[in-house]
Amino acid sequence: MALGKEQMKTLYRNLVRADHFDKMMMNRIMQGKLIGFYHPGDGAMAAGVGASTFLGENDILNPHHRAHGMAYMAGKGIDVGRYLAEHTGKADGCCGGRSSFHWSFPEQKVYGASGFIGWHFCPVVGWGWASKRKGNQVVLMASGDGSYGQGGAHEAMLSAMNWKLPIIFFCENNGMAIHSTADDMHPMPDISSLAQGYGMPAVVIDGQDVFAVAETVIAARKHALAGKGPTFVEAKTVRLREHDVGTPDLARAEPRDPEYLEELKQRDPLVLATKRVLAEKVLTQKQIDKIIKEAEEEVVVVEKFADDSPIALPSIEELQAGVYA
Amino acid sequence: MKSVGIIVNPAAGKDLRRLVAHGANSTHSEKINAVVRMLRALDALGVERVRIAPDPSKLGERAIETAADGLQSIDAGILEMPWLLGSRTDTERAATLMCEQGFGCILVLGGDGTSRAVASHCGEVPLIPISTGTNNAFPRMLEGTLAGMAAACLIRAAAGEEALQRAPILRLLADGEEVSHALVDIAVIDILDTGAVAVWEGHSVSELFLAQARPDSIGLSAIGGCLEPLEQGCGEGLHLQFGALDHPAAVHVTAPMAPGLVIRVAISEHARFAGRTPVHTSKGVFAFDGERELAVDSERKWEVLFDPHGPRVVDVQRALSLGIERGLFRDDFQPPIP
Repeated sequence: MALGKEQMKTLYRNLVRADHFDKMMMNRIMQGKLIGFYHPGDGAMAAGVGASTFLGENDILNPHHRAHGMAYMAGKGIDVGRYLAEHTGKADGCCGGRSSFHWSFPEQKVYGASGFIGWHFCPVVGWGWASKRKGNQVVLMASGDGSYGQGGAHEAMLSAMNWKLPIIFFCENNGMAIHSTADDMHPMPDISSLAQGYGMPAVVIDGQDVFAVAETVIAARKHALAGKGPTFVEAKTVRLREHDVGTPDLARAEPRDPEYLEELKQRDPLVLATKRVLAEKVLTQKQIDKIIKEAEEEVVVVEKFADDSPIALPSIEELQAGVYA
Repeated sequence: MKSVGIIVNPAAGKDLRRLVAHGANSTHSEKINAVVRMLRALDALGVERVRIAPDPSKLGERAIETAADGLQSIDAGILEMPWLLGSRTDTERAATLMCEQGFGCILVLGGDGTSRAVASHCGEVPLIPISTGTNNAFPRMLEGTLAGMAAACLIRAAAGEEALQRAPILRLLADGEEVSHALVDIAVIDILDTGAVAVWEGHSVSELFLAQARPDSIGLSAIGGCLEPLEQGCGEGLHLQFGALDHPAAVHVTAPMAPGLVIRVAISEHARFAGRTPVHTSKGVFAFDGERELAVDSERKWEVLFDPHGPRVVDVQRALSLGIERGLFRDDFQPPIP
């Protein structure tokens, strides 16, 4: 159950990659090189990387919208070039350049985001039911604390528990839902408290610790594959920046304290993970420098792929083929 | 009159052992209820001021709001702290402030790890550790009202050391210098990772040093408790070395490693110790009070020191007895002259 040295290296590498991709997206939105919005993941990438890096190929992933799922994408091994091309309206995008932030990678069983927070609760029961029938896959459903204010959350957890579905309800609790604070929105700000009402095993972990997240999700996945049903994992994390680029960073109607946000950077997962891998001699500084250099090079390749891809100009027939109702 | 402090760890009792064992869920609502009960008891027995350490979930604020209607004269508030990081640092900062501000007692709600964080920073302020964690070696199961009453007895009716005990502490030394410490156990785990922090796989322990070993506890110290219990105040620790289950010379012990997780381990050697004793294992990770934290550096000389002069802990029964004996529960109570 405990992580080995190679697993720790993989997690660290994915965390560095995810962090570089997040910065890439930030740079591009500021340069006007992305379609739509960007919801930065700065300082909150460990939860997604830890949760998704050791999912199986068959496992269904519904990523969190923060950093547009990039932490989960890096972990799940999707083609980031096609992901960026999608965000730039290019023909080589994973959905033909039509979705921007509402992407999907069905071939890797990654079903992405919607403009409606909490949309996923009901579909996830269907994915869970399918996974149970197949018997060799689990569903990781990631969302934030705000999404658990939606009524569908109750229906999903109730159904998942009644039918013992192999679903991991993975909640990134950063204490903020756009401008609302979690303690204003939830009587009990530990969202995992909700799961206990359904008799669902629930844990709260440090979402800034990529290794802790991975070990927990590995245990939750094993629980699901053993036919024991759903689990709830609440990863406490932070939001270091505004909800999305261009929106004021407010808590209620007041600007968040910049001094406090600066202090929170001590909890940056990359800072914590770097200390850990050096202290435990999992990696040397030279190896870390190499990982960073490779991530920088990967960003260059990804951006070139997206930039070189032609602008998506689908025909009317192609557009209609994607309309179901 | 000295103030009473309350530190609640919102994260205690929620870790991985809910998944891999059968740990109880210590919910926010139950923690708030426990604090409400403490506030009511402190108020009823005449404590003038209580400060609750702030936490990101605002458990203290919620408890004060809930208790407010029934409180008569106590000044109940939140300890002023500039900001919170949502980590152990918050607990340590709160304990430091309560020490600096001369608090008379701190009620600590959490597990062994929480008590350790407080004990590291509270100086000589006496503790009443109450279990809301997974394992209950240092803190004990104690109803909130009684805990509040014991704190009130200590503040108002006891004097000096008469209701206090010294808990022992284990100090880990690297090349003769202290690098960390534990209130209950220091373990060497033969795996590299410090992943989800909590130690729950008994078979991965290679060496164990205990300051307490009681048969009525759960966790690593229970292994010692089920093999050779240490009497309270005996002035000695217990050192265990683990072997393979099929080792012919091993003593096999069945012990509760986590709630609902009773496992069999093989002990190749065990001995009581006082003072310093060497760490034999040269690779792995040190865990302090059940939480993995520090990699073993094979180039350093590691020792564990049993120090009988650890944190001051309130003897709850003794404090309550003194309170009754000195009339704190009667209307004609006269506070002792200091």
